Amino acid sequence: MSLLEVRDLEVTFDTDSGTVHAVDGVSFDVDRGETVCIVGESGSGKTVTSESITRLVKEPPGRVTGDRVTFDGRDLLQLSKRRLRKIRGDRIGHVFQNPQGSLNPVYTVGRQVAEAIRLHEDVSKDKARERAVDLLDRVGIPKAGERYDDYPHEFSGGQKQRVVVAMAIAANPDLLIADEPTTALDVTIQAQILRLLRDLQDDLDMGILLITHDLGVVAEVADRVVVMYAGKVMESGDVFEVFENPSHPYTQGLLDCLPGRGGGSDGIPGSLPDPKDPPAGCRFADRCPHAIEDCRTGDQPTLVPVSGGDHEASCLYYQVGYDASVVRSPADRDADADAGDETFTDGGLVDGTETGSCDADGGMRR
Amino acid sequence: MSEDREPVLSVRGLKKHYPVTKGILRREVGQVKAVDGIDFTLYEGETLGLVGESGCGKSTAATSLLRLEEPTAGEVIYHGEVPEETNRKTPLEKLRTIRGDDEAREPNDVVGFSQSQLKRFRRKAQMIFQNPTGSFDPRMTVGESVAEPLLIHGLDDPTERREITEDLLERVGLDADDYDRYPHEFSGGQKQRVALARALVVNPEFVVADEPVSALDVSIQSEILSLMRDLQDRFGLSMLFISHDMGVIREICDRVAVMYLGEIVEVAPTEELFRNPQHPYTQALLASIPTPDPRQRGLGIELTGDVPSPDNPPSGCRFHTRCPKVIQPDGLDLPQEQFRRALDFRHQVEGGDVDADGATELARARQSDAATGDITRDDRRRALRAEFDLPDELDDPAAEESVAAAVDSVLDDDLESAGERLSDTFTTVCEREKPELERTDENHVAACHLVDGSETVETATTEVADD
Repeated sequence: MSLLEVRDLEVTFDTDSGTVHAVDGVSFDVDRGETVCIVGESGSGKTVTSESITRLVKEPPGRVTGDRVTFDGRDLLQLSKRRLRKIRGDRIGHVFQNPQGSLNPVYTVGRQVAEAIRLHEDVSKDKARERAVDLLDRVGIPKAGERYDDYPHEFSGGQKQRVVVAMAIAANPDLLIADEPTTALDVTIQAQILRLLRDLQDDLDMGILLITHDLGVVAEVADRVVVMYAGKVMESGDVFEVFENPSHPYTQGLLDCLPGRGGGSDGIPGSLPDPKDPPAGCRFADRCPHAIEDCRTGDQPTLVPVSGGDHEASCLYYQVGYDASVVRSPADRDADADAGDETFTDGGLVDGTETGSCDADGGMRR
Repeated sequence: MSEDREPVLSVRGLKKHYPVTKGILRREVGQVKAVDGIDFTLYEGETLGLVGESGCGKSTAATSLLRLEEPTAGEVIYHGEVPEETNRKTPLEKLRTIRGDDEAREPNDVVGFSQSQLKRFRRKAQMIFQNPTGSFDPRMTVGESVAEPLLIHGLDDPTERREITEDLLERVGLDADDYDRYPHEFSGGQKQRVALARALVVNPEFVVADEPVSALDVSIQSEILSLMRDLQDRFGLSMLFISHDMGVIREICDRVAVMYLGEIVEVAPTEELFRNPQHPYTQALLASIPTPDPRQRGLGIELTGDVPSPDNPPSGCRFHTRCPKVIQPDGLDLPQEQFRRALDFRHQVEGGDVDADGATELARARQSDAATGDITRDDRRRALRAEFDLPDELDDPAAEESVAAAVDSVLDDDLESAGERLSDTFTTVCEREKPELERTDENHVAACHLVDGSETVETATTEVADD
């Protein structure tokens, strides 16, 4: 059995103007020693997915339901708040995107790391300090002993993220959830942090769930990939399979529009569908170059195996009775890239892709 | 390629230093040299990329060349007119003239422009910022925001303003009806389109784009980039494109200037730079881009450490503290990695960053599992070497002797003699001498001691002081 098994996870948010379906039936596994990446555009529900595993989503207005989220044999959806608290930080560590926001500016860095240790272990202050220095040293803070008493603003962005990683691994967690851990950092520093995560994973035999929008990062560290769009899983599978044989048109589009590949792609025209009133059929149909009438009826197609291993895609063309070669062949993809020339079709409104944006907007107008 | 093109803007020796003050009298105790003498020329119709890590001064370079901030020194020659010297001067400018500390400047030097000249200059030069949300007034409709520059530059007729604005909104791929909408009703990508419209509404000659796509999703990024390329062709714009993302740079730029700690270290046409990077910093930057191919893992050359602080930049080549290819002195024959680590060790010793107590701590951490027994001098010695990834025996006997002696001095808390010992052996020309910009190819210059160019050039520009 896998370390973490997420089955049919659903997260909704109640807002004044309707219910937002942020995550809609997402399933995946994370094993020990394995890195799983969830990738997608902003607003695709990847962060909400990661936060609802440890129920960090605020309830209400949020509501986390689903078949089950099993961590090491226990269903996190059934646990009491107290029990969950024990698991958070202790067994499952979290690293967030913005290291600045994860550290308290008025306490020294060392004190915050020591706090993370004392929360989960009954140790004396001196012992906690010793452990904190060890941890800082382990994540590559030079002169950890002296930097212990420095404040967050005295650290660079990359070092702050190292400190946050130190806090997350303070209790030797089995699973590390990292939400865009390198997005706020420079490429050279990003490479350092990714290498650090990989080394720690080897040492601690952790499972890592990495949330990112950067396919470059995915290619660098992932063992398996889950591609999300508008709250649904579009494609998942082994990283080599997904990159060499991208099967869902959305994954193909994402790979095509990576900058610097000389392709000069025009991106994926259009924007995410309204999460309050998702369209029938495939969520990606409106932006898909291959969409046919059948794509716009019924439910999101079920995930079906497309090639070796556990590689699956949620696209109608792979279902029985349709011609999979339309979306499969890369040659077709190039031809269609030219056809998708109207870049400017997204003139419409974006209505509350982020939850709670309505309230914020109302406030601004006043 | 640059021979037949007219320069739009020549930047020479541009500097921007920020004072660091202390105490209630705000005594100046130092300077942050954000931009420290950069040269480049922007040609008509081209896109020049300015790339570097955060903190290297690329945004400061942009704001000070448009005089959104006053540059400390240097010239920014604008070749598309403007002058028509006016005698109206602000009191500050008059004071400067009276005091006589206003050095003589070219008439078309942006740094010497009066306020009224500056206003006319800014009709020709526009800027796009990174954060599309922060660059719009939430209480103005986007139409009002886009039309505002027209009003500022004297177009009084509201119907005409609206007409121009609506036309431009359509050109950037929005709807004329969007004129009456508010910024919050737009997505990030759409807001960046509006920002483009606002920059283009006064029909400028060049645009400075400061990380215009960094805040956007990849799928939106390529949309905006292709729109920018499109508009550039249609309006014949020149563009200074600032980004930290090499992929984006490759997508849109004709030429690229690489910045490190306030200086330009390499300039080359884009494809040439990607195919044949000369400066080790450029090579490291290129190597750390994650490739979207899981079969090519391994993040290439690792740059150790962070960018040094610009208030006290390293001597010689500013990159020598992190450079993986730092040059060994004649007498030494070490594998490059070992030399790099020995230098790191030396810098830490000189900076007082290691000491005997630290070594003891390290040794204890290393044997924490066993946790028994005393820590011998040998343990501490080994711990110290391990901390800097130095092998137990360096490949060069002279180097080994020096490191061994230095380690012993450190353990005796005698950092001074340790530092002396190391700095005698581990020296590098990169630290002593500042490399000149060398030309390796017609349009390719780089500032590195390893680069053997055909000639040494004064500035990174191809046209050298023709006026």
